[in-house]
Amino acid sequence: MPAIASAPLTTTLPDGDGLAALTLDAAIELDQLLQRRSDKKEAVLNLSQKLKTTPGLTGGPESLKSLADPITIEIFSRALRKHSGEPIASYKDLASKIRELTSDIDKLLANTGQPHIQQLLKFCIDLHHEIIQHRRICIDMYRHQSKYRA
Amino acid sequence: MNLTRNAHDKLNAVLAEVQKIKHSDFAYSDSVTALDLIEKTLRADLQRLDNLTPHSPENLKIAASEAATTHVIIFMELLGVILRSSNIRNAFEFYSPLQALAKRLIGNAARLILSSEWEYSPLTYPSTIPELPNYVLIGLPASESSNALIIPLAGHELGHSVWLTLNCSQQLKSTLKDTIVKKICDQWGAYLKFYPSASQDALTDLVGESTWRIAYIWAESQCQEVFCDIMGVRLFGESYLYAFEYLLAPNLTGEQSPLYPPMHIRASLLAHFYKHLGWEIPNKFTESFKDEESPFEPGTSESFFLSLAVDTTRSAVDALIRICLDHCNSKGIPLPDSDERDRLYQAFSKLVPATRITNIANIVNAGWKAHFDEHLWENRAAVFVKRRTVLNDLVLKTLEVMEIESRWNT
Repeated sequence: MPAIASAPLTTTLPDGDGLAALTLDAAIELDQLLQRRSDKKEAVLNLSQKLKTTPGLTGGPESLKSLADPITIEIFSRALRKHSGEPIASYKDLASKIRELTSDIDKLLANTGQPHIQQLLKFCIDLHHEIIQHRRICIDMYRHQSKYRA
Repeated sequence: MNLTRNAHDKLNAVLAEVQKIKHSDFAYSDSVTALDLIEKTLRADLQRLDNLTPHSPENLKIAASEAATTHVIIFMELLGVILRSSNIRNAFEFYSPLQALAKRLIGNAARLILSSEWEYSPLTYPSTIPELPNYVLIGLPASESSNALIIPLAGHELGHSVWLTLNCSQQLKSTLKDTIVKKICDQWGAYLKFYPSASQDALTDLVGESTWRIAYIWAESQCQEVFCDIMGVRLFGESYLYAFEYLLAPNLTGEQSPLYPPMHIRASLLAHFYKHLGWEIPNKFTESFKDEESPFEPGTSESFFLSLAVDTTRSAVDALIRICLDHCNSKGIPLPDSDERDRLYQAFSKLVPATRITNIANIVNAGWKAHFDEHLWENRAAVFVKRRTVLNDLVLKTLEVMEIESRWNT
């Protein structure tokens, strides 16, 4: 069942919680970590906290389905699909991908295991891109469709 | 690639504009604070670009440049609004009562920018600009920016801020989703035309939801607009309807926006709420609005989902009314009072500004009552010929009196 691909997502600007800035800051921090220019993980920690406190996002498939807002689901599905190159057909798949991601971030923050820093960096960039795209669609849509309506 | 260097230069160019605009003569400090917030965001973008090295991945450089350019796009428009907020064309008499109302509705952190726009498109700025949290931006068409009688439309814009403050999207999410799924099941044959392999069980899984998510998004947006209209009526009573009709009837657009219910339905929902409050709807109010054409061809999936969104919005109206009334009552916002309106009208009929004001709505409602009284001042020829200007001045002066009384009392 294909969705309506060209349909705009929403009128609500998605960056109300600064998620775009958080992902970009985390990506820059990871880049500096990879280049051994800094070992700061403050932005990654902020992103991790944000993911864990976003309603429904990290609580498994049922919580995603019932608590997460549809725009968050759409943005994360797109970013994770792009990141993994695999289809995400169900809430179970989506929850599993989010769990892999948060587990990798936790490993990095706790200095345990072997986090895939390069992969995390790529995910942050993919997520940032989806949020910015979404915001630009919203701006265009708002300009064109709210005019002359109050 | 010159991307990051270009982004750097573009940010600096906007920062230079911010500095110039800061030298304008602003009547209220909220505009200046907005400039500070914009400057802070732009400087953070510059810092991000500075943190990149030639060895950083190209897609990271693109991301940082895109983030910066997005802010340039948004802030250029906002800087225009802020600059125009200093223009003496604006009726600054509105400002203080509206700001007080905003603080009461959404808390003391509320900030207001009142501006005039060179498009006949009222109040186009959503209060959802994350870089300016708690800001309500109201832009009135320049030709109307000193017209006191259209202030009630600001109630609609305040509604957007309340919507965010109360997280109404989250409150309504389950209801909207359930309603849409139920309506799709009720029209299963029509839905199957677009998704022949669909099953009802799969409607609530990720892929199933993606087929109707657009209906949800449109319904949520329409609910927000209806909520804001309801808020306008709750705050201002009849003058919201008059101002709404004055600026928007029969309609200003060629076709319906999926983000709004069609204009005639918006008007009928306003009338529904008006009656809910026990008030008598002004004569021929709903008939003033003309049907808008659908933006989609009949028989297409977009047309199907738009119709679903409108139906879903209508189903949610009572919930929207409850949220609005509960919030206003909890904040102690008084309902417009017809006795008080008549007292103020009497003052206007004697050509004096009224005193002892407690609610901005009563001032504007008295103004509209005077506006509709064709015999008002007919025995004073010199006044009668410029009655519109005189009435506007009386309303504005009374708004000033309200501000002075309020300061005196506190």
